Amino acid sequence: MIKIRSFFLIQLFFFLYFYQQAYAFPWMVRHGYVNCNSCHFSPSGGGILTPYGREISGSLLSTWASERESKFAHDLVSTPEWLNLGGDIRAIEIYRNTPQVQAYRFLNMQEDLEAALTYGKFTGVINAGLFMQQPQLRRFYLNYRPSEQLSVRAGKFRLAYGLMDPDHTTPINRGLGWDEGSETYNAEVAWLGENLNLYLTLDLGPLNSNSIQQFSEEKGLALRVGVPFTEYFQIGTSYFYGSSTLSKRNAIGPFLILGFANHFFLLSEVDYQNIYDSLMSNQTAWMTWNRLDYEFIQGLHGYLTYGLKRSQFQNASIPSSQSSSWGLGSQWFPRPHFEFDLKWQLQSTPAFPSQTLHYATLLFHYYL
Amino acid sequence: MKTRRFLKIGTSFLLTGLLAVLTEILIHPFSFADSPLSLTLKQGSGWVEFHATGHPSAIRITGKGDKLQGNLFVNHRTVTGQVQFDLSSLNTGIEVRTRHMKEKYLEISQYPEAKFTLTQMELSQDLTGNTSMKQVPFQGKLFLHGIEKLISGTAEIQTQEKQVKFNAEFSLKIGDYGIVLPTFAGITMADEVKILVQDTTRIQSAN
Repeated sequence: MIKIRSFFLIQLFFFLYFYQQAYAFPWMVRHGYVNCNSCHFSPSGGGILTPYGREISGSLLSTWASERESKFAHDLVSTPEWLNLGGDIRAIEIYRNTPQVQAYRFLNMQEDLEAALTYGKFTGVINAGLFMQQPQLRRFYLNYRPSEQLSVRAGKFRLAYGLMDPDHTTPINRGLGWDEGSETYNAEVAWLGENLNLYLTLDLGPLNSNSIQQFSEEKGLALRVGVPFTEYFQIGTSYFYGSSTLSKRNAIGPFLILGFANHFFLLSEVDYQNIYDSLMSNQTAWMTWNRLDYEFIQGLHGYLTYGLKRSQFQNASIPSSQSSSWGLGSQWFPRPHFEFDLKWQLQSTPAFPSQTLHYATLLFHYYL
Repeated sequence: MKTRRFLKIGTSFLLTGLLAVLTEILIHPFSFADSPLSLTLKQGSGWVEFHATGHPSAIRITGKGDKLQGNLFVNHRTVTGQVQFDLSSLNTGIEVRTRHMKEKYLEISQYPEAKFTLTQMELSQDLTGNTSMKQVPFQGKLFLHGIEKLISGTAEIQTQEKQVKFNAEFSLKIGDYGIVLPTFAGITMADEVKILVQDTTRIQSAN
């Protein structure tokens, strides 16, 4: 009995954290990192780390680190300067308690490798691996940087919109149809300046996607504008127009990243979405997601989250629906290459309007 | 008759003198106005902060230290004096970066202090009562990393109840001071660095 319980606890501890994709951490703005490409090869963040990003993962992100520990493969393998390698393993243990079911579920979410090859002002990035145990070529693009600020990119990647927080289950990601695996074929022009970052993305669609069916053949245009101000804040707004055979939609909303202090920050985003020209009646919705975070010691965070999605709030003839959740969590980067994220959420959904549902996750992330 | 006239003249002189004294008291409530003043900066009351940019990707690099001390003198609205800053108190918020800054670039074992000698600063008002002065230009000599260079900047000065608070701002090029451009894992810091200094101290008579 004790062995079974220990096994369960160990499993829970190591695997409750894997529902996130390898995206960037927008809250690094509070340390003066106004552009994602300080630490990531991708202009909009996430994925393979630059050499500087690796150093920062040891010296700023993690609780403990030795001198060369954050390098690729723990510095056991060296690569030429033009070649950078990375990879991720993510798994999650999910606990769900609803009036219908109380269940634990383990998901092996991601095992992939990623390479960035740089030649002059060009960088090619390719990512391949298993996602939900299915082989996929999830991300690949060619990035041209004619100047420090200007970036041109084409390929398959996730378009820039909003906070770009890694948690794809939030209303501002999943609620807008940008869930896990929602990378699309895009052409992007970006300005990555000190006082302005701007992304204009032509979305050519996913071609073959496992994203939400309604948006699976969608093509569109996205604009994201972020303005860093003072040393620790960034405000911005995003707009997306999408068109598919099923419908058209507009999504727009502001976001903000407020670093009150080096160890205390708020992420917030609100979006309005209008779906029209659909076989069904027009749909309107607004959604928000917020995270208030305190870093107790370097690498160890405690946070509160609040998410809400409210649909059909404008149309009196159709009943509106509302989902919301409060979350309490802790994210820990003990050493470079390792991340744990434990979160407990109290959810309210239209399916169980008078019940509070419990949803907990423990995510484990290892980055090579 | 003569006695009465003398009394009248004497009374007039007395009233005029009294009026003059009253006017002086009302207009200049502190007797500091024309006497030399001293401003002593003690460690812990102020700070020095630098702002720089790392390229590519426009990283905002800041550092702050609080070991600032020195003496400034105000004589007929002219301010002079010297301020020292202990560079070992600088912290950039990232341990490795702070260590590299001190050891590789500022070389504080050889050059532990920065010294600033204020050579020219004219106030537009006396440091009396409650005053506020903005964009007050100043010039001085900054001794850093073994090299002395002329610099100029602006200051904002506020006085309240015999306390003076100032914020000074200037820019420098670290290359002028023989400091190698810091570079780390593909990021290089820009040559130009903005310096902010803030302190609050009591206004004292220099006599």
